[in-house]
Amino acid sequence: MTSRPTVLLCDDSRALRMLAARQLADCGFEVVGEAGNGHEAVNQYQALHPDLVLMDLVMPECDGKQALSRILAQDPAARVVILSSLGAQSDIEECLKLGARSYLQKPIDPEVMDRVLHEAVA
Amino acid sequence: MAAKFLGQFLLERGTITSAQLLAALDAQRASNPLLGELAVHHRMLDAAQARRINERQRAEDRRFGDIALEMGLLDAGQLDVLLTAQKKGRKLFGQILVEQGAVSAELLDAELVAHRRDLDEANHALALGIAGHTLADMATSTIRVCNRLFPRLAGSQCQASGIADDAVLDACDVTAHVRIDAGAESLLVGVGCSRATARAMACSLLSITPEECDEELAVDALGELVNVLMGYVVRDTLAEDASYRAHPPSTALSAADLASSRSTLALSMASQRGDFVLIVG
Repeated sequence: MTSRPTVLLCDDSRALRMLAARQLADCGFEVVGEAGNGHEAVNQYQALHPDLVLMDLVMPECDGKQALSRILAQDPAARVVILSSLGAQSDIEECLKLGARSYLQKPIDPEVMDRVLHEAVA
Repeated sequence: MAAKFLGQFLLERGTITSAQLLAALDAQRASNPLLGELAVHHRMLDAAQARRINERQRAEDRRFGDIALEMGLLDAGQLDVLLTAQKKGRKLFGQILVEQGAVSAELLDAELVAHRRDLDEANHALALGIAGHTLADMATSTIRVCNRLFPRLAGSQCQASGIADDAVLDACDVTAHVRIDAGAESLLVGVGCSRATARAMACSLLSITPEECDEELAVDALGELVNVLMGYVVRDTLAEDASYRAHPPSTALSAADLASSRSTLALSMASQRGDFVLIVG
């Protein structure tokens, strides 16, 4: 049996995490951890080493961009996909330049999520 | 003067009782299933497929049937069958009240005329209230976004019913707002409502039961809903390459606090999930 790719889901909204976790399961991913801010995401990444991180861009305390940089500093091969409804084009470009694999817009389109995340872990 | 849905209008005039209102709403809901529900009922889609299309609708702001066709989950013939069934079964709220014996056909006709007059006056008052306001265009555009997205996000129609007064603002138990700074300017969208309305919206947004929704989750979901509204407002308002800084949703300020600023405009909104206040700035 092929195991499902594992995901660390990071968003400050519990409601969004609930919605995204359901969609991730539908797309064939296993959510192995959830984080409510960038600090937690960095710590959980170290502990869990997931196949993929789905990271909200706009969060209090440590935002998605900072967390992305710290995760990639620890593990340059980390696969991080940015998630946001309000990210400016310049922020998204910056995240991609930093090393994010891709970007998803909220509300999440399940077809786009399916394609983007599977490409990211391929 | 505030625009109201027909049921609320009739209830407030004492034409129907709250029990009659609830019974008629239940019957209307049953007579007007969503296309996805009908497709599942007719075994053309399974529940997971219908949910997936609903999720795409939220993201893409497109019709259920168009997405289903594009995904190859329904063909044109099946869609015709579903649309015909949906149209055939659909009943107007007033028609249901007459069928259930809550009002006579004659009384309904007279009340519909009074309701239409009330709506026209309320819309006129709203237009006058925001005319000339520096935020008139943003308010109008945000109301349109709400009208378009609410059925998909909160499972309910909504309509602007007037400028929110102090009593309406003070009645908001919870308020979430999102602000973005774009150079010297900033944009703000906020929603305030009662705890019960926040919970009803959250249950619909997350497809969960009221028992599964605690107060913290309801408030959090309200923030996420505002976040999504702001996303659409930003895309409608700012240039694609605009540089701005977005702040996470905040529940720290009350609706009255947000509305007290000269640079905001607070609107009363009616919805089947409960009334709410929409604040733009």
